[in-house]
Amino acid sequence: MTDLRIHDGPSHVPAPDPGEPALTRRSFLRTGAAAVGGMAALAAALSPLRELSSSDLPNLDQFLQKHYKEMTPDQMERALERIRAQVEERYRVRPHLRDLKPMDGVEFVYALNLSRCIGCRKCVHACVAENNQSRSPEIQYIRVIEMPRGTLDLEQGNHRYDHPTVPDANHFYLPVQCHQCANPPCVKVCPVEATWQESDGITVIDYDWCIGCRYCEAACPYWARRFNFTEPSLPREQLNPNMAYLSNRPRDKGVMEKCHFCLHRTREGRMPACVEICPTGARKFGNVLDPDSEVSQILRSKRVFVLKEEVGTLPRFFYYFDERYPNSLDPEAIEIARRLEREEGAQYGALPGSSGPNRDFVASAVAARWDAPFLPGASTIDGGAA
Amino acid sequence: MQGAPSRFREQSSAFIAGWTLPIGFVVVALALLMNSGPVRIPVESPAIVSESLTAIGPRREALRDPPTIGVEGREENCRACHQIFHSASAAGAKLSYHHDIVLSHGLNDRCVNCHDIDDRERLTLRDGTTIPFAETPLLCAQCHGTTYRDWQRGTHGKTLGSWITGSGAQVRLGCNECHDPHAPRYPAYEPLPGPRTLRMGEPTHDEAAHDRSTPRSPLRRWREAASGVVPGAAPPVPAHEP
Repeated sequence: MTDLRIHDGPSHVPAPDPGEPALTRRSFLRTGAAAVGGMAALAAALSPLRELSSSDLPNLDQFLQKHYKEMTPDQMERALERIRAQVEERYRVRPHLRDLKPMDGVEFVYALNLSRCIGCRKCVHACVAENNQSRSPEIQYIRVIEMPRGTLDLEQGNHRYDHPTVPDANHFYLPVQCHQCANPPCVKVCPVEATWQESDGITVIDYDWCIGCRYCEAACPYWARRFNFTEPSLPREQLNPNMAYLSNRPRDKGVMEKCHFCLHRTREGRMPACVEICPTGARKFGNVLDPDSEVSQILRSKRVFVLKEEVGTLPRFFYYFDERYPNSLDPEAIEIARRLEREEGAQYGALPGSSGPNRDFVASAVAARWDAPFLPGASTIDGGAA
Repeated sequence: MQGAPSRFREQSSAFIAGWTLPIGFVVVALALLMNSGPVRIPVESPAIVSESLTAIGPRREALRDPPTIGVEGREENCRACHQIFHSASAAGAKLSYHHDIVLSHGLNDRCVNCHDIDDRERLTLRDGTTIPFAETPLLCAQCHGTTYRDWQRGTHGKTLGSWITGSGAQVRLGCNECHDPHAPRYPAYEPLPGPRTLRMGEPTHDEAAHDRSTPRSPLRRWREAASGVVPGAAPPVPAHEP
């Protein structure tokens, strides 16, 4: 105890510890070299940061951005301006970006004529060009399934068909994309409400709100949702600058995307890209609340069906086949025409001695029996050319 | 005072040793700062994507009224020749002109089934009335009544412009803007490349080895095991389908 008191005296400057080695030239050089090496390594490690642009990091605005439905117009305009700046920075293109709301009194419905689809896949690639999907890895919204004739069993379908030319005589083609269900399972499973159905029937995604859990992908019975597993790569010159917030603005890694009926076009009255490109007119799009629209006509006059009706999703995407009417080479049609000539004294040129104008009219004669009001020659022709 | 120089040396050495790191940091930071800064690249106008995917017009050029045809580099009306030359109207007659026309339209084997025999710039209906080329659908409707009905309703054929009916922006293409009237059947198309997406791309070995003509079943593995077929022992099948 006394010893301690003596050593703790005041104003005592401690002498250098004799056990600590003095700083020699050698140790200085060693320390200095280590420090310089460390510096160089640090600088090298930091150098990629120089290429970091502001668009690579979520800025404060993006981080604090509210859910689409909660944004005021001012906040939406700020968000749009931020996205415009990001797109301009990444792609060197100033996008025409806006937020399009659903139109009043409009519910979109899609119809696809399976008798006309030839499986050329133009719609698939027109969609990719329109909607700024990632080119590598490829993301495609439309899947054209080649089906054996005589079945609708999707298990027998093949979407990797690779014939030199289409259509193949033994198959028909069933393009599948988002069906914009009225009872969408993908919306129900989303834990953060990043996807919802709008009043015009389009199920949309807020790409800034999606957390990438992929529940919706699992819930969709039509395999219509796609996930950005990697940073989407899109060549700068292929960017489509016509964008809307909820449709084809560039997505980030880790978010879902899917067909949205090209809402940046359709909410302005235009046709979706897949409809415009279709070389056979198999794709039909319109407003089902308008009784004169093509889709309303199809729903009234054609026998339409939906995929996987039994799962109760109520799709807004209808498939139909054209009725198969006989042509002039159809033996059955010729037989019917002959019978009509024998029994009713009609003149269709089907019987050997008949003075009908041409056997080509056999088919129309037969069709006339079935659809008299619509056949020209009757008084119902109203101009024709639209 | 012999200890003073060595003490000074010790102090300066300690100073250097203690400040090397911070000074180094400052130097590196300055270097990085001077080298960094926003790289401005001028904004370019966007290029157009593949032309085949933006061609959304009619599939073919239909004849307009009055119809013209290229004759030795000039565009001539039909009458320019046909009021001079009498053309054969009989079935199977040998054509002295229009060799490029391939007639493959059902049992139609005469030009005058559709073209008016007196005025080649008009078309003829079955009852003898003539119509201009713009009203071609009326002619087609004589045989293809049901298709014409569908076309009138909009359930057959292609519509461009807008989905809004009655806006005037909607354009419904006529029969001969998609079909060649002389050979109306659609030609075969070369399909665009198939999916190479992450989950829709090349089939896995397991999928390729499985015959696609039979339905896939979750019980397949179980059945194979039961029948003694070991999935791994199956002979390798090329990944591409023939």
